[in-house]
Amino acid sequence: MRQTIRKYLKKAYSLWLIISKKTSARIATFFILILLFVGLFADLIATKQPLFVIYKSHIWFPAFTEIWNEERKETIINPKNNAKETIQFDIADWKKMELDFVIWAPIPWSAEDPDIFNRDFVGPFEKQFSAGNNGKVIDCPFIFRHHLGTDQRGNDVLSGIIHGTSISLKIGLLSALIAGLIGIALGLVSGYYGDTEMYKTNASILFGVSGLIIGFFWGFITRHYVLLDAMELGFWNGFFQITWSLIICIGAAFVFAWFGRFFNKVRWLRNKNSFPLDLLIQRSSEVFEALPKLLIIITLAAVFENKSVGLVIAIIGLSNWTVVSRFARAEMLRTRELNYLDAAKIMGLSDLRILFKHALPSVLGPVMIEITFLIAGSIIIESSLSFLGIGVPDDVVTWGAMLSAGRQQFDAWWMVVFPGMAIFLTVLSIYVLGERLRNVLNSN
Amino acid sequence: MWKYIIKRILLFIPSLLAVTLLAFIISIKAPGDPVQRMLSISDGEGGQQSSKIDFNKTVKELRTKLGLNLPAFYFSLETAADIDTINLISEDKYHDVLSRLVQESGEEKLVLDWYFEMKNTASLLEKHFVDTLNKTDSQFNSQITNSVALCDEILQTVSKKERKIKEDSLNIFISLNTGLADARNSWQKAKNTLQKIESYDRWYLKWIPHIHWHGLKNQYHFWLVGNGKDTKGILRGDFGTSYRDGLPIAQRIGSKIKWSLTLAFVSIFLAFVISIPVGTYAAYKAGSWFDKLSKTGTFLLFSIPSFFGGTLLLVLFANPDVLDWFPASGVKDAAIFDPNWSFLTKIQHYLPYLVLPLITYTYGSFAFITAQIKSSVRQQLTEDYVRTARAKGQSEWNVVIKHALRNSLLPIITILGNMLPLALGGSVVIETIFSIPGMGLEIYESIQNLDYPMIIAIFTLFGVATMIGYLLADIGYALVDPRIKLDKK
Repeated sequence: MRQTIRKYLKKAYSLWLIISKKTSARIATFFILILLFVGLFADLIATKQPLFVIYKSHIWFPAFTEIWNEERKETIINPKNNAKETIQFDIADWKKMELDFVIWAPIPWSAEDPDIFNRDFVGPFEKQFSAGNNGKVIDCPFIFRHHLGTDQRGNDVLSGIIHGTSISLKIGLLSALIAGLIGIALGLVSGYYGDTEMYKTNASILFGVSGLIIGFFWGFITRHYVLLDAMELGFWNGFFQITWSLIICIGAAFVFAWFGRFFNKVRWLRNKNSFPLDLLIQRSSEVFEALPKLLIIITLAAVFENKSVGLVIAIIGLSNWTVVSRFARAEMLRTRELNYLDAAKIMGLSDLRILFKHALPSVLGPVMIEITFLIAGSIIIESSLSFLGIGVPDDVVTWGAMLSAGRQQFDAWWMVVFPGMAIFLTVLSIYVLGERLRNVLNSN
Repeated sequence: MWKYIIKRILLFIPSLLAVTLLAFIISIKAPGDPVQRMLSISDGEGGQQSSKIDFNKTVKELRTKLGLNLPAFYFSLETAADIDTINLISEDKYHDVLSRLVQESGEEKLVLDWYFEMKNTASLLEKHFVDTLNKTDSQFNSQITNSVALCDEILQTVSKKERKIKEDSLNIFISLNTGLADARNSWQKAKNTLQKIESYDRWYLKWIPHIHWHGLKNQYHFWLVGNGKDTKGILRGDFGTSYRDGLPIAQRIGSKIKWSLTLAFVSIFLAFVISIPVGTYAAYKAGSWFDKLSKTGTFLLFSIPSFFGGTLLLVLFANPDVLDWFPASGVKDAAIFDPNWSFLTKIQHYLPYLVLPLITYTYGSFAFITAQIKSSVRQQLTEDYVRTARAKGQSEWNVVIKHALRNSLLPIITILGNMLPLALGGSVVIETIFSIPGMGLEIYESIQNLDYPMIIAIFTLFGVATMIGYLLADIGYALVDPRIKLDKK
């Protein structure tokens, strides 16, 4: 285990040495790493709750505890007059409290955190205000300044961009994951078996196909309501249940095909024939590719009553599998010509083992590069949807939604430029890195 | 090659079916009951809702007229538990719970019985409300109203636990009031039926598949070709009426489609006109500063999403504070525009409005096409025939333009087919930014107003246009280049 990890680390390091020979790729990689860091820790980087606070000799870590206990409450009893004071961490206005000691987050504003002193589009270089002692309004101290300005309600733009990073990356990565899983599986299988390699008895083919249909029935029609309910609960619940349904569907096909071997009394059923798997997958992916994708995504995202991030991920992911499957199939065809798969087959290894242990690792590299480009495309689609106000729920702060708010107010250039630059730089750095990876791989 | 073209056209048919099917599925799965929406429009126009019975009758008639009581498709693959009779119940809001119950228990008849008993209980309870109206017994009356609402809620509660709680509170009210004997009878029956249903004796039925053949009398068929009476079906251009104003959709779309198509075609044309010289020169001078600049430029342009680019252009060039060169939105100034102007005057009037949208439309495809042309020309320049042409003493102009470029334009034809769908899909965003009265803005506004017939109509039209684009590109590709043997395996 340790050795494999060391091996992969070594491999990654040597790859990095080659990639980093180009300055643009180096910068892009660093930028992506920063984005991942920001996206992952957005709740700690930009939050109104302090990271560490001492209040009346109580020691708390509000920003950290918020992650698992959103509505944490603490009751303090003043020993002098027995007065009770209840502090609910997410509602409390920490900036007004008399704190003994405090460490603020780098950006002490949450994404939805209206600052009443800086409402109505205050620019980054304009005068900003905040509450001083005795109810006076004073100039904003540097740590509380809105470095990229505010929107109409006084929300901090920088904080919005930081929280938007995590949403954009989540949608980009997870939808690429869905497209990747489906695309690689179908592409691999269709490249490996082709039209001639799946040589089975007629009985097996017949039973397998009917098993697939019945499996589809059990997985998606009998479990119809289970799937619907799970999808309402959230992305991972839905993902889990859909995976189960797929396992039922494919499992039924295999079990039925296996039963086919007992029907060898009739001659025609005993005859062997090749199953045109490649043809079927290719044709259906061609039908799929001819559909107008962006429009389908917009329409589907629009007609669902309950907006949710999971739904957007699923729709974008499902509409992209053909791209991945095309590349996976082409790579598989190339790998098959290298003969080592035939050698493995002659050694008597099972198809599944050959596919996963021997073919997959060599196919994965080039396909991952295509998936990289898909991530960038998904981020663009997601922000276009949010820009139109479709798909992602209204209370989730996204780059597209911020930009769309800026469009209403031309004076507030910071509402257009900064979220837009965030999208632009993210997409650009993914493209640059992907292009570099592709060049490195092609020259090898 | 003819074989290829025929094959390609044959492949077009399932894609077309897939688009119409998808549109149809969206249209019947779309939230909200179309009948309720239509009635709310006619109410707004001054129609009076005379009485509840009349209202229910209109609902029923409208459902029959719209064909909503018909099966959805030619056949259905269902569990042996559900059979389509649930669809006969006129109100959509009960379908979910009733079908769930039917599927879980397999007792279709009992579920229907339960539904009618519950409805019966509710109406009996309501009668008591009318009886006691004179006595001004307001507490009792409000209790009655509550329990009628409760009956309705029970019919719409998915979770078994919650249903049980609601049932218990209704039970207390009905059994405590001695005056409600008839309602109690009906309520007892309903309760017993539900108990029988929830014992799930025939749970196994949902694991048995059941294919039901409905024939041509189904919603999809009528939607496609019309029902032979009042609708003509989408294949003959009848998309129904818009929820927003009740006008026929075909009429509304007709005036809008020209903007979308004009912008799409002009922008594709512009992109080609600019990117062919740029791409060719960059490929010819490979490695020069121009090549590097064009490469960086295409990368940068590619990474700017159109909504950001468009908004940026607006902020820079249609902003009184920065540069007020172009109008910010729309396509014409209604104050001076005269429909009787000559064609040229009209173009002159439109032009300033269209500059920014056209730039937004074009820059993305410009980057894409330039990159394609560059790699294509560079590929051709390494071919033997280019060396032969040079050896024969041809001028560089002739070598690059007449030989290399001409041959490298062939693969570009496929791009032409891909451009149209991209431009149409992008039009939703761009037309929204610049308020151009085209199909993109129309679909955006329909989405905002939940005008589903309109959404479906535009969706279908765009889908078909997209696929025709792909089809023409593929066929053109096969026709132009005789070397391409596409029917080879």
